[in-house]
Amino acid sequence: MPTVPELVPNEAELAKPLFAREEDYADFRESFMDKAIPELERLLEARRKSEQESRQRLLR
Amino acid sequence: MITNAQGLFPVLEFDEKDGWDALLALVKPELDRRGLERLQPLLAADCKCVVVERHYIDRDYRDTFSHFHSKRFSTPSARCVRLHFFSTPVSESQIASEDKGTVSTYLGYSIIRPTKPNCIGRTMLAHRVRSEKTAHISQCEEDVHILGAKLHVEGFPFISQDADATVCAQSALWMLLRYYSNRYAWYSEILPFQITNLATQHAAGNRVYPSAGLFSWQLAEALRLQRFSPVVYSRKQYKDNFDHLLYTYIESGLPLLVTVPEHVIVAYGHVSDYTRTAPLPQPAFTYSSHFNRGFVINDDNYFPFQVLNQNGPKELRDSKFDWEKIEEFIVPLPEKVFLTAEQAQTVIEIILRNSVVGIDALAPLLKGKNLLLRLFLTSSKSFKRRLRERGMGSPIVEEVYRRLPMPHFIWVCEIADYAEYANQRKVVGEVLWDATRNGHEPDGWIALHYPDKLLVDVGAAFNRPQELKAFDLGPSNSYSLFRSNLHSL
Repeated sequence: MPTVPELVPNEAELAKPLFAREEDYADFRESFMDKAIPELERLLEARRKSEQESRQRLLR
Repeated sequence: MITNAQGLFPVLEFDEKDGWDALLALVKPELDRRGLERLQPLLAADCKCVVVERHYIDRDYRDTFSHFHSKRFSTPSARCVRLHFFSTPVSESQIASEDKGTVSTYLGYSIIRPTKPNCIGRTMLAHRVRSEKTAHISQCEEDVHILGAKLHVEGFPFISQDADATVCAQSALWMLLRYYSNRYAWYSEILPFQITNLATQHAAGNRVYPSAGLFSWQLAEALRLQRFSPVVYSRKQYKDNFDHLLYTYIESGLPLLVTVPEHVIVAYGHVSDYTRTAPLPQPAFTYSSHFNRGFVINDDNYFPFQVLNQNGPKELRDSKFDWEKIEEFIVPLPEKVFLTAEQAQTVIEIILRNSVVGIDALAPLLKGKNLLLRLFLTSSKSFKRRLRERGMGSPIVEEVYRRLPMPHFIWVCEIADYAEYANQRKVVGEVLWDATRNGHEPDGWIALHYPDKLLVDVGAAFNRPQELKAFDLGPSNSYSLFRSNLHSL
């Protein structure tokens, strides 16, 4: 029994690896992180400030 | 016409002689003019008959009675009256025999408490009574027992504050939590006094009863204690996409607590206008929230199924608020959802614009088209349940998705041609993203489906490092958007 099961029959024929070279995959990941991190940090700050504001908001 | 007026189950059939004021006379002193004015506008169009169930013991009212009202020198009754609404005239014997025609005309119930100034207690009405007949809403169901018969109603729970033991904050929490306990076995049913206890665990020296209100963070804390993972969004902090994010969570089938100045309501649906003019081509993606023109809400000061329109009320039954009045919303995220909507949107947009796997690189058929995205959270179980009926544009995609191991919750971002979506609600592809990831993980995507290409992470599927594989799909069709999170009216 293979350690990694086949997702669909004839998977090897139907699907090919997206990245032929390890370097291309590393570049892809790095490019993703470069774009994502600044925006995610900004969103995290917006979340913190939202939670702070909720401490002042009285509802009755 | 009133039958059995002095009995335990009087039946009021509306006619020229007996109108809604007859109901007031029949159910006094519990029902007052203020309570009637809440029910009548909502029910007048559809309701033709009311069955009154006297001496009803309501577990929610009994809970606040035991913990608060019973401690007063002058105590109200411990019992309530329950009103059952029907869209055709019915008789006691028809109900008792579970006559099919009678059962199908049931519009739901409202419990009338002996509390002033607000007598409307637990209420569950069928969405059929809504004035706005086209909407997409979250709803749950209840079996209702009367005269030994079992009736059925689907809607969204409603309760008004009694202004002593409960104020708007507790009422809104009750509506939200009752929806979840009705719908999912994972969440236990919770009574008003328990809600107050949850929300005032950190009361900071304030007395609990009579309630002077709650801070919104206390609502989030109460949700956390009820096994949710709440997140708070303030309009001030999300200036560009606050309304879009609110819509996205509602589209995900998550009812929300929405705060307006000094008040909180529950939002659980949207009303979309698909004839809206398409936006001009722009760098930012257009989302399906573009079509949204109103949120369906329960405001405990009014009645169920109000519409909170973008620009304020259009008719008498609409909410008096407009979107700008919404200051904040609190999302009761399930505990297994770590990636929030704005984080999911950020990482998905980065992928769709990527020079290797983005739309321009891998989806030539979409180039130059006016694209529309629809973002929502769902369970992989629900997503897989609808694969067959949707077809997914290609038998390969359908088969891969059916077999692919997925996390319990996934973010789905459907990709559509604007005109095709607006006219036929069809899509041409989607991105699936693991909701248990954090935003800093570039390998959180499960699959990326374009009209002629499918990329799948077969590594994460088997709990191994990311391993992306590409399937060539050949000719594929557009297919129906995913429908499961909300009930479309």
